[in-house]
Parts: sequence; structure tokens; C-alpha cells
Amino acid sequence: MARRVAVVGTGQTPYKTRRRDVSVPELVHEAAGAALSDAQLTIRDIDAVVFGTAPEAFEGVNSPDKWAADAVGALNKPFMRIHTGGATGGSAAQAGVHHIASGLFDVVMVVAMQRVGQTPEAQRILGLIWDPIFAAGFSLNLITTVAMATSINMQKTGLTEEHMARISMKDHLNALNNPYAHVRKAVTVEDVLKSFPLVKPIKLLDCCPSSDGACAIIFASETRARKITPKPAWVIGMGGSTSVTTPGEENDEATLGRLAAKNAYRMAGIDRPRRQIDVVEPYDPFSITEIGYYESLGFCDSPAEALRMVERGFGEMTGEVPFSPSGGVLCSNPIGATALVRVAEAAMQVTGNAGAHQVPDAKVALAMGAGGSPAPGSATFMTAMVLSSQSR
Amino acid sequence: MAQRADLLEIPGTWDLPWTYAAGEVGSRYIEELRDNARMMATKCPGCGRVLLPPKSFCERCFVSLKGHWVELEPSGTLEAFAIVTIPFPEQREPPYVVGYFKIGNASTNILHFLEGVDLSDPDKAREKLHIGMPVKVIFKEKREGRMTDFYIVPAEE
Repeated sequence: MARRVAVVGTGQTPYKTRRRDVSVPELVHEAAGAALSDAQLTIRDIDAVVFGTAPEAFEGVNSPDKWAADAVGALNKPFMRIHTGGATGGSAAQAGVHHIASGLFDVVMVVAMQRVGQTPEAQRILGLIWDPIFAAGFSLNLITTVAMATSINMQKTGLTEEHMARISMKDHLNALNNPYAHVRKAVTVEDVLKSFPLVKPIKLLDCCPSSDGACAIIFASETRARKITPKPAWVIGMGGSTSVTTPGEENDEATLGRLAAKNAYRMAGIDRPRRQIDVVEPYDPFSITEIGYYESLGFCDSPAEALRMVERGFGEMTGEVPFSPSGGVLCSNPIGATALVRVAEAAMQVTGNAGAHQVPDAKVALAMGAGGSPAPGSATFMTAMVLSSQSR
Repeated sequence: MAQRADLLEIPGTWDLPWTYAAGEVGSRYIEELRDNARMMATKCPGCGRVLLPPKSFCERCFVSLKGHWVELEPSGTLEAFAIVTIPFPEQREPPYVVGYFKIGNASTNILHFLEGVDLSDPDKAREKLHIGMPVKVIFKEKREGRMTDFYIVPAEE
């Protein structure tokens, strides 16, 4: 990178089904305020603001960026909105890093939000994201797209519903240690297997909740970061990629994750991720997603090995490389904010500030973001960011 | 801090019509379905990939595919599927099978329903369906210029 960039503060709201006590501006203001107080800065220290939110139909106001701009401290400052679906927070974080790495700004606040709970029609809204010429009218929704991708994995790799249930159990247990998590309830493999079947093999407890919430991160240049905090979380690598293939085509989502991670790893000097990465915050709204990441992010070489890793508890808190110590996307999903939460959690881990869900001695963390959905006329976006306690 | 349980909520709805331009390539594809019961795709002169649904450009070679039409055999394979047994708002009445299909020698998948599958026992149907199974395209008698002018059924039946 042209200039070193670090996270110097993070702020999150609790994730809930519905925040009736705050309007949209008040919700994002809460996250921005929390990040400022974490960094011990005031809004006058912020040079520019990046705002992220995904489909505005969730908020029911077109371009909610103008609704929220003053509440995230953009008054008299450069401001932009980023939207790459579920990857929004990851893309927004990268835009914030670009601002500083370019030399144009020294301290930038990135705030991302969604409130899915203001409409009872979240699934209907997600049914409106498809190409209206070639893909509309086939009752596609995100649960069916994941069920379809899973149908391939089950036939070709030996994936079972138990594998997915084990991931869900892990994330739910982890969420118990995260005060911000939306779903905080221990579940067993049996509970997951017996949970309500949505679109088989996807069951209720294989899926994330719909959450209201916001997250904010303050990034700073090296000179400023060292003055702001004794423990900056350095951004040592980042990457992104875009795909337009559907499950079963070559160059599918696994390749997409691989490409995003490859760029981030190259920048971070990571060639053996399994040894060099201590903790991962994947973008996993469904239990199946984490299993795919084991291979695509380079933690193993084949889908079969990924399944053995699930059986060994590779990604559990006591496993080799903990995945989703926060409880992950599976337990909190304020869509536009979700990928930014991954970055915030990664920063908290490498600075030792993750509280009850701290991975001991975590020094290098990987945060993923994924957005869009695979269908004809649609794209999928993926972001990766590597954070470290040491600058590079 | 205790929160008031009676905080106000202001109701609102969006109710907006659109007409989506299908473009030259989209129009020709749909007209061929409707008027000639033919499955047409575009083929990239650069990479040789056959795109279905057809596009007016190749996203890899970044060249125009306008005029680069090929006709596909109305048969193919099931590439991924889901059997839907619960209702989703404003979507088809369950049960139904939605899937990705490779038609003719297309390099890409289309999204469609798989009809003609006995879904009286969804678990049994799920065991019967498999990735790679042959399917065929059946054009409807009455066609109205939509992707649903044809449907897809297992070829083994």
C-alpha cells in the first residue's frame, strides 16, 4: 500500500430483530459515537466519511445515505455511499482504506447499517433483486439459491446435514460470548437437524436472522494511528473479486473467494494461511458457507478435507483456526453492516479487545465479505481484508 | 435505561410500476421463443463460450456479441436444484422444483422450474433427482413472449 493504514476504533450497536427506540439516523449515530469514543476522538478529528447500506427497500426510503449523512458526522466533509449487497461493509472498509492509503486523508470513519426489521417483507424484497428479463418469475430467493448450491455439494463432496449442523452449533455457542450478537441461544447438532425445514437441506437453524444494526470503524494513517492508540490494528492486505457464474459453472463462488483472498494474502505476505492466520471472521449467513471457505481461503486443498476439518472442529474456539468467534453472520445479520462487523471483529481480535470471545494470542485475522447472489443476470461480490497487530 | 413501549411508528408502502427494456438481444431471444419455438443463444467469437441467457457482450473478452447467434438443441442437464415445499410471499405455490440448467451446448446456466416430477413425497423426489440428469425443453402451445414460454422436464420420463 502507498501508505500504511490501521483501525484505531470500532463501534457496534447491539443487533436485534427491531430497534423501535431509534430512527435510521439515530441508529447509525449510535455506532459512529461508539467508534469515536473507542478511539477517544471527536467528530472534528474525522476528515471524510464513507457510508454503507445495501438494498434501500429494507429501510423503505430511497437513498438512505441522505437521511443518515449528518448522523454519521459528514457535515462539511467529503461523503460517499457504498453498496455491494452483503459485501457493502467490506467494500466500504476498503474505500476508507483507499482514502488514507492514497494520501488524501488521514482519519476516515466508515459507518454501515441495515434495518431489516422495519418491513415484514424482507424475503419479498430479496425476491426483487433478480434480472427482470431472464431470472424473474422463478420464485428465486436467497434460501433457494443456497439450497441449490448445497445440492451440488451434497452430491459431489459427501457433505451431510450433520456437517452444517456442527457449524451452526459452534456459531451459536460463540454468540453467547458476544454481547452484541442477535441470536444468543445454545443449540445442539440435534436441535439444528430438527429445526424447521425451509428449503431442504436448509433448515431454520442453518440460516442467519434478519437484524437491525450498525457498525462503525475509524481508520487512520500510520502517523496519526500511532498517536491515537498504543494498539492499532494494521490493514496488511486486502482484495476483492466479482463473479457472474451460477453454481455448477466453472469459475463459481469458490473461485471467487480464492481470488479475493489471493490478492489480500499476496499483499499481506501470507503463503501458508493455516499457519499464518490466527482467526477468521467469514461472511457466512448460512452454515454451509463456512465449509466452502476452508478450501477457497486456502486452509485445505479439497472439499473432502474441508469436511474432515468440520468433523475435527477445526473452526471451533478450541480448534486450529477459530472461525466466527463472535457468533458470526449466522447469529447477527444487519446486511449492509455485516461485512464491516467482520472487519471490526478482526480488528478487536488482533488488538486483544474481543472480550469474552477473544481468541488467545490472536495476531493476524482475516475478515471476509460477500454480496450479491448467483443467478443469470446477477453478480456476486467478495471482499477480503487481513488485519494484524504488527505493521508490515 | 427503560424504554417506552409506546414509541411511534409511521406506516409507509412502495407501490411502483416499471417496464424493463429487454434490449435488442433480449428481444430477439424472446421473440424466437414466442414465434418460432427456438432456443437461441449468443456465441463469443473470442473465447467460444455459448451464452444462455444470451448477452450482447462477452464479459470475459469484452467484445460485442450482437449478431453472433446460434440455435441450441432443446435438451440439456440439471446442474443444481431445490425442492421448495413452503410458501414464500408472492412466489409460486409449493411444492415445486427450481433449478439451474445447461441447455444444448451452452456454457452457462439458465434458471427455471423443473416440471413433471412427482412431489407427493418431496424426500423421495429429492433422492431421485441428481445433478447431471438429462432434461428436455418443452415449448408451450400458447406463448406470450416470456422466459416461461417453455418449461423443462426430466428427459428420462
